[in-house]
Amino acid sequence: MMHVRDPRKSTVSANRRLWRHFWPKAVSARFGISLILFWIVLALLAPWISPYPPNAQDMAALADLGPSAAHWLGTDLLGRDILSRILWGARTTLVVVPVATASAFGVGTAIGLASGYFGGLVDRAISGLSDIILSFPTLVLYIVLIASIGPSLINIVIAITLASAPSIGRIVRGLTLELRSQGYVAAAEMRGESTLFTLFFEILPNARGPLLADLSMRAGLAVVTVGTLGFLGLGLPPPDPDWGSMVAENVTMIPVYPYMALFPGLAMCSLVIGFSMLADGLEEEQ
Amino acid sequence: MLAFALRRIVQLLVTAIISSFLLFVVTEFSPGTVSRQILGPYALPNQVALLDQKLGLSQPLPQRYLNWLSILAGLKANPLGDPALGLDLSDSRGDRYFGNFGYSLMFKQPVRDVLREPLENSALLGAVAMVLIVPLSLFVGILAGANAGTRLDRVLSFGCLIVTSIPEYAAGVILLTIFVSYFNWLPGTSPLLATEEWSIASQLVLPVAVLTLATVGYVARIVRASMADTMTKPYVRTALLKGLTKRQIVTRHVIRNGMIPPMTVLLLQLNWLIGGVVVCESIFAYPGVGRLLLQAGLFGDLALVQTITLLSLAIAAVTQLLADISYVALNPRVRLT
Amino acid sequence: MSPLLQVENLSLVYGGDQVVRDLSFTIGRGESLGLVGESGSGKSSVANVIIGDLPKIARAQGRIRYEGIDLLGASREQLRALRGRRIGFVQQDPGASLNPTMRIGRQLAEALEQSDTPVRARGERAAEMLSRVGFDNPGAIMARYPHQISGGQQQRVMIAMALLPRPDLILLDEPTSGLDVTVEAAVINLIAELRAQFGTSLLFISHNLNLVAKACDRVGVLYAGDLVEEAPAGEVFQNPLHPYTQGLVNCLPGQAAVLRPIRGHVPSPQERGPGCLFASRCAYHLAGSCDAPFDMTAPDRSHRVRCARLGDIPAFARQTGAPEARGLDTAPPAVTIRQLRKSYPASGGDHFVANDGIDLEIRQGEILGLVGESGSGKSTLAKIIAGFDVATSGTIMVGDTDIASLPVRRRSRALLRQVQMVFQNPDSTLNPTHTIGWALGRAIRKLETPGTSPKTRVPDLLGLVALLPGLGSRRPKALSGGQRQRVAIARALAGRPRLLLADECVSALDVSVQAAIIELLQDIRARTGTAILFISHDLPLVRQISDRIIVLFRGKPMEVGSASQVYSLPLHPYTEALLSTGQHRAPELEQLVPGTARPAGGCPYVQRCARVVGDICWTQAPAYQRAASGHEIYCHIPPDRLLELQRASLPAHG
Repeated sequence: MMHVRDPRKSTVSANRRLWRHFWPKAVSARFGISLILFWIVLALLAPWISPYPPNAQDMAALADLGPSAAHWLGTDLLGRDILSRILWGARTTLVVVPVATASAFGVGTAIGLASGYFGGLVDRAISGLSDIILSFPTLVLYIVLIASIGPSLINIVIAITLASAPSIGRIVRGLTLELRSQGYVAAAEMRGESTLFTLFFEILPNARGPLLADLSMRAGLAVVTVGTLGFLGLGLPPPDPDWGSMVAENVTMIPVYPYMALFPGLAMCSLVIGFSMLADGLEEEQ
Repeated sequence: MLAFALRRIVQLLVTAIISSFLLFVVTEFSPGTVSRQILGPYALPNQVALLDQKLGLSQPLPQRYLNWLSILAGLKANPLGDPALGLDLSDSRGDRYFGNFGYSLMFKQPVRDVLREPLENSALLGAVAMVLIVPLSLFVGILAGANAGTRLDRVLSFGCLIVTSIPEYAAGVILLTIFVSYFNWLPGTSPLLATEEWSIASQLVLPVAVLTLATVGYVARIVRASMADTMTKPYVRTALLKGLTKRQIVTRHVIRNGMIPPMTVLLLQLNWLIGGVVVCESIFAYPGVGRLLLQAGLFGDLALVQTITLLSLAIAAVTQLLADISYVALNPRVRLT
Repeated sequence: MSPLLQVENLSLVYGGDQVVRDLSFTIGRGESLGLVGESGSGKSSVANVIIGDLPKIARAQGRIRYEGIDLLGASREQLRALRGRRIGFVQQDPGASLNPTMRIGRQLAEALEQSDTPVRARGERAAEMLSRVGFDNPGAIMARYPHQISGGQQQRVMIAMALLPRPDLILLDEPTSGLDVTVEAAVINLIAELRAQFGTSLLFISHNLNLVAKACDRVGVLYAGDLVEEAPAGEVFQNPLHPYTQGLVNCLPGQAAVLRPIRGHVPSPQERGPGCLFASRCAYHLAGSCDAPFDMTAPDRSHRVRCARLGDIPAFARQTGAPEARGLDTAPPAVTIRQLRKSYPASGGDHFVANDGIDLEIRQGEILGLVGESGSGKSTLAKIIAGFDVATSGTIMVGDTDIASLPVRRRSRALLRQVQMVFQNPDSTLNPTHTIGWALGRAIRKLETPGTSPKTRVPDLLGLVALLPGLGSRRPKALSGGQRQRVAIARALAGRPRLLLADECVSALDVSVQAAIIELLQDIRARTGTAILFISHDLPLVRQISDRIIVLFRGKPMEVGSASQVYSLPLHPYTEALLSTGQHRAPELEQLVPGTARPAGGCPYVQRCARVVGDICWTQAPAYQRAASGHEIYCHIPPDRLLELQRASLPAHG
């Protein structure tokens, strides 16, 4: 028995299908997405839910820095509320990371598509340059770049783009090479479709699955990078909180006050784990 | 094999020249010029220009790159070492020798002298970590991959995923909290100076642990994926249908084939490890080259940044070469012509 | 004496899906049984359940007894002891079945590990077995890695490996899939020969009824997990009793004069009811009697059939004779190819010649069959005509335009409209992200006369390939392989092309579906007047559809003629070999190593030719000789002499 769907019903269930389309099936992906959404919600609500302004110093708390009823996660040495700073820090991370990831993916996808589809000289030039950039250890590249162009939001985005676009390009190139040999791409060429149409309507949609998984993984890596740069003092200038610099400011206090560095560190871990699990789940769904 | 290796070496040299030029462009592009650094923030612009002139810094970029290369190759003397400048920079090796990386302005010493000890320290750290990482990640990866789909695999894979997701500095903080703050079993910093309380070995434990944690999960996952993929190959089924035991199948047919793809990744991890070393050394105040790079970067010590970056590039290039060669050695299908 | 292998009421369920239902058969010592079925018939699962290697979700019921051992109840260790030593297995795809990083000798010796052969004697035994399967130089082969020998050689190594421990039973799962026709024939002959020598029992599993009938004593026909008929090999062709078997024989090119496809599709596991599974496609279906489970009945001792209406099925009447001939000699050419040459640079400054001076006309409204084994350059030719590659020299005239070196991206809309293509792989011919309607709509927009409304033209096109208009809103995933290939044909027809290239467009399909597509292509030619270049490795199939045939070998046409000329009177030694693969002997295998340099100057076929007349074949390129009107061969030997030679060699084979 063939099951034929009544076309009138499809509009009613369109919303549900859209939901199902975006809501991943793998358990790990669902857990990952929940973690990410959790932080996004907290970041969005930070101005309303954070108990104190991020840079406000509570002199009364200096007597006892540890977690208390007034400061759930304690305060740092300057009496600033750790919880509030983590919430505000989430905002920094969740602004820089999507922008940097999107930028890296835009560039990476473009060079990957070009290199895989056209092959020949274009491919060799792009691949050669990519190989050179990839031969720099990533963090060394960041230090060199940031040290020379200075730390700022836009420069961090540029550095992340430069460092990760080549490897995204490699993946896209591989997928493109594989997909361009498919019959439907040949059929598009045989009916005279333009190159851009072929790339964006015939090839790219079919690379969506692996690319989404990679996107999620890259976003996780960008979280790590932003945090690490902050930790190394190459991130955004103080005093605005970001998780990496919060760890850096308080790392020497660990023997005495471990929570000062531990809580922002854990916040960072949970967000990265969210992205990793989402990536893992998406990969599994392939 | 020899011809293949030679061809790869030539390719590497070309890459090295291009990437060193790119490095030179990026670093020399920076706002704080060498002269400005030497003379301090209160120097007059014409004083800076004069020093630029003397040091050859006003020349066009390609010319400066060539100068830099010539100094490196020992063909030219480093103008900074000229006693007439009165900078008090001198090199016990003389002013022309192969491998002259110039002077570190931060330490007012030849880069080579500045680097020697930190390099040894970092090499120690990296080597100990590598000795742990390779067998551990292979063991976990092979174990999980050979039992793909079982509960053991799921537990190991999930563990690896979590460990991979923890950034080095967060791992450092967590380990510090547990072993230093809570148990007080280990030292919180690792200056590599033996004290009464903490031996050098005990100071190595946490940095090595952080580096290992950061890398093992990632490598193990790659090994696992490749092993699991190999397990589904028809020739593995052939072995099963011959009546071999699982152990025989895995050791004879799966491991060699399954190791071909991760081989490259495994060696390229050294590249990743270098990044980890920077963070790790910063957390534990470990006197290595990574921390030095960071300090030099923040200070704007160009010669030091360039040298360390070049070194890391050289390491990357050599590991790349080793990866290629081992790939060929493992895979008889690659024809060498 | 009890049979060697006895399968009783075997049922296999994967998850909730019934894969095999109530299957019973026996194989005696030294006996061979072939199991034939199309995809989804569960035939491979049968082999896997016997050897005890099933996916985790599989549940088996019933009994499988091997020499008294219950295989379904056997422990893992018991099964392992049986594998290899007592039950051998030859898998499909020999290239992937050999470990790429282990020398062949070691892989062979491994097969003896479970036996009591002393370690030192293993290499010797392996070498001996290699020479039994036809290798002259076992030592050299054993020192090689699998990628260093040809596909045919790889499969012979696999057979040697299965035979080495002298098992009583060998399971062969599609052992020749992926091999060229001539190699396939040699492997089948080898299997038959070895069976006679060793007295090994065989269970031969294949989708190819012809092959199975050639290699086995008895044949079982599986349909959707049911054994519908079991009969001696000859009976299956002469006197098939089950409607499905009858239909299957009618779909086989070379068996029936006109292919008669089976309508409908194999029910998916979810669609299977308790009754006869063929009911939905059966002309004799009778509600009630066919809808209940039915046991197999035996009209005579050696023949079993599962059909509730067995008494009412008319005896099988085969349509004999040749397909209807259609002379189109006078039609003007749609495409004219002159001196087309394509060579690729190869290692060492050499050139690999894919197409070598091809002269060819494709006439308007004709179906031209292009036959050749892999590497013959047939796909290269199609690619050049389609514009995915460019010729090294020569011309391809479409109207007044030479398209030989005009890549597809530089072709005008008018040119694109004239030449369209149907691709080989039904899985990748349609973009999985877009609906069928989208794919056809795009083709209409780009190729049809401007202003044509896709709304009316899409159902038109779907109708042309006998699909329902409702299919337009579906995505390719919801379609069967045959349906996808129909859509691909419709897409190619959107601009009413003058020439349709069909490169192996049915080779991935089951025979019953294949027959339907062949029928469709003929129908389309009749209705639209489109010329079709039908490319395939399967000569009987090409014969079925084509008006004229070209036989290509190493880029050079060996024989050109009308379908009946080439098929019933094959003159060129290569065509003769292709058609008589049944009598073909193994020695040619050695020369099938890919990439062997062709002799400079001589005939390209000389190395494999059974009728070499002397040095001239090696040193001088032959000229085309005319055998009859429109029938030409590329050979030094005169056509009548070739005929004599053929007659002379026939009695030798008895």
